[in-house]
Amino acid sequence: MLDKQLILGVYDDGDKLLSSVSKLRKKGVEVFDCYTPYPVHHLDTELGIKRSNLTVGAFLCGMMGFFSGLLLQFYMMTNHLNTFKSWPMMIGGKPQDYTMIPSMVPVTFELTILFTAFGIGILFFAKSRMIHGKIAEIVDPRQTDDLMFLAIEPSEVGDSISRADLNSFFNESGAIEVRDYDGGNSTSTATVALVEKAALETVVEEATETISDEARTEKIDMIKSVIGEATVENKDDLKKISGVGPVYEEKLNSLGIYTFEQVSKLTPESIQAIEELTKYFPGRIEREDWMSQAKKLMEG
Amino acid sequence: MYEAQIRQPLVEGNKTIADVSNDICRPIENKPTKLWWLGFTISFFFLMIMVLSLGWTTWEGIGTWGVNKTVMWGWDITNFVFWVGIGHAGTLISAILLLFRQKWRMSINRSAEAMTIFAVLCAAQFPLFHMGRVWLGYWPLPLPNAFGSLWVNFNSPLLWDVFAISTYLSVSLLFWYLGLIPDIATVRDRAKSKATKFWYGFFSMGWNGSARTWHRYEIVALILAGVSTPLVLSVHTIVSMDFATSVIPGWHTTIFPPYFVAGAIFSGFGMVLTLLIIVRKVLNLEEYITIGHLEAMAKVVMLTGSLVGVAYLTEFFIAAYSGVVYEQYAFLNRAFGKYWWAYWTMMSCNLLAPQVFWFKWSRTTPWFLFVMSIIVNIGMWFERFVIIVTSLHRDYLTSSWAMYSATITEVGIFLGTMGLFFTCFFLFSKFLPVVNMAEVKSIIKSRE
Repeated sequence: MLDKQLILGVYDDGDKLLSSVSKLRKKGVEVFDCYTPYPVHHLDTELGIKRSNLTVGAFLCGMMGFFSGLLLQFYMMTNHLNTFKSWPMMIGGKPQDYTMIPSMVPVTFELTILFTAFGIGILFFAKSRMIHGKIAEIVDPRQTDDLMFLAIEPSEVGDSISRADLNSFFNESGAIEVRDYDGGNSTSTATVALVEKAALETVVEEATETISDEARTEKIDMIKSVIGEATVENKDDLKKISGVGPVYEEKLNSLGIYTFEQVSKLTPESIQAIEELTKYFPGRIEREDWMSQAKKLMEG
Repeated sequence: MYEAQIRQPLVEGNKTIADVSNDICRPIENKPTKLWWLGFTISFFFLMIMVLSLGWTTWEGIGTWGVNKTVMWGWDITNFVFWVGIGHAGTLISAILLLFRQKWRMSINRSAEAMTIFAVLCAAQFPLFHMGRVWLGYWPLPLPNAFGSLWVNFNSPLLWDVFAISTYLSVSLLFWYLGLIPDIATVRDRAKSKATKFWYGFFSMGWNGSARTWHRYEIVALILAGVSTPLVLSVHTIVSMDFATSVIPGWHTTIFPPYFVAGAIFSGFGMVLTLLIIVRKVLNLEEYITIGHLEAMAKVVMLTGSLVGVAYLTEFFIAAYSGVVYEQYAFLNRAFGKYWWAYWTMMSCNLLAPQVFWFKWSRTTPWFLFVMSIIVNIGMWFERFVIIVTSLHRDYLTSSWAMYSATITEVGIFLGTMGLFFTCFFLFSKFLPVVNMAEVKSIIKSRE
């Protein structure tokens, strides 16, 4: 599995994938990579992949083959390199000097091709970091079968495009699914926790720096006034809400949010306050509609 | 995606990308069928015959063959050239048709390339064993040694062959393997058993379909195709030089290089047709290897067969026009001498028979194409036999004139190589996708 955090747009059509990449890059969103079961035409240029200089490598390897072939034959069949120490190659009186170059053509030709082919093969595997026995870094088993994945790093979201806009873009462009991926199956809660942890760990300093204690208490009070208070004794398992992992549950608890009832009462204002306090995947609470989820969970 | 109105679709049956994976992975993911076991067993039996015959040859010596001081090359070199020639069609389909951007190559190139590798493996047996002392088979290589170092003779086409065939086998193997990697990854990711996942994982080298890797991959494929094309042309030219650089009538002629190359493509396509007509039926791949594909191959057979036919007539004309009595005798002897039956088999199979492909029915009827492909193979085997044996048995020195006939050991080796070839092909069809899935997926029309 690929050990990275990514937002994935899942497509089943190469043309749609291509136009999505093109539009995203025009919006200024960098696409990390695409994973496809076949080479989609022009995808490399749309992604901004510069033409590989493997061709230069191939040429150089070919030149090595060419000179090796000539060197080999000059060494063994002529005395130009002073190699006739004991066995000059006298074969039916045929020439033993540079005039035999025409005879040298076939072997030189073949060695040029051999070196070119294996040279570029090895360079390709080296550049692509491919070797026998390497465990494939895939995000989904179907990326080599029938689906195409457009991968964006989470850090791209926020500056040039908001998460909500990205999601609607994916929907409009014909993606069949949007996923948050983190080193494993992106739909499991464990994954969410890992993402949370990583996301929170990197931004938690930011959050504590930019919000003063007074402002923080103010916001918490505001939230409580909207959703009501609760205590740790009658707390619910907030992890049951899709999008909440153990770390985030702790965070919510630290804001005084313990029960499904409280979550179900969240308003846009209080959501904004929570997001300012936690800075985690903005827009997620509304997108995943934690309020309705909590309502359903309340009913049991 | 642009779709030409006048061309037949390359993939029939409204397939989706998922269908491609399912259809082509099916023989790999299911247990082998009874038909597979039957074919494999028969092929393996003949492979054992090869092992026995080669073993007997190695033990007892080349005296077990029918060759003599006059006709010093018989079935051995006939078979060598036969198999190398067959291999060339695979490379042509993969490499040359890629350079010409012929998309119809996509569903057939994997099997064709596999055919090349197996054919060259069969071909390699002959130069190795015909030298007699197989355990010294490394002597043609330019390795430092204790004989002063005694080097090999770079003036000789027989040595050029060593380099040419070795290069051809290794480069073809590389090209075939590289093309397989994305498909091996597909089988890996669909694998249900741990063993399957492990082995296909191992050979897939970590392939993940990343666009960056695909970009490099396509460049490598083009470069390999670009070097494979001159490779094919040079290899069979060098093989033809085994004869052309000699002095005897019937061999010493500059027409051999292009004539042999055309003949190789002709015989190779014959064998590709034989294989694919069987494969498409047995593995239910008729919607991928369509009648259109078979027809295109039939047209190539038609073209190259005619080229070979023209070469025959040219040789004959030059012999007559040149006034060289030895050359004239060589050709009259071929048609009316002791091996007349071989000559007329060759002429009818290679020059006359392919003319039937002017008629569309013959190009688009699989059973008939199959019969024709066998005829082409027989004809081309006889061509090499005629060239080698008739020229050798009647050269300049009349006191050496002799007859040649193959012994049971030589027949066993030849039939045995058929066994090797088909055993390899059956194994290939069981464990690897016989159609290049990734390429075929790229030509599936998108559903709008």
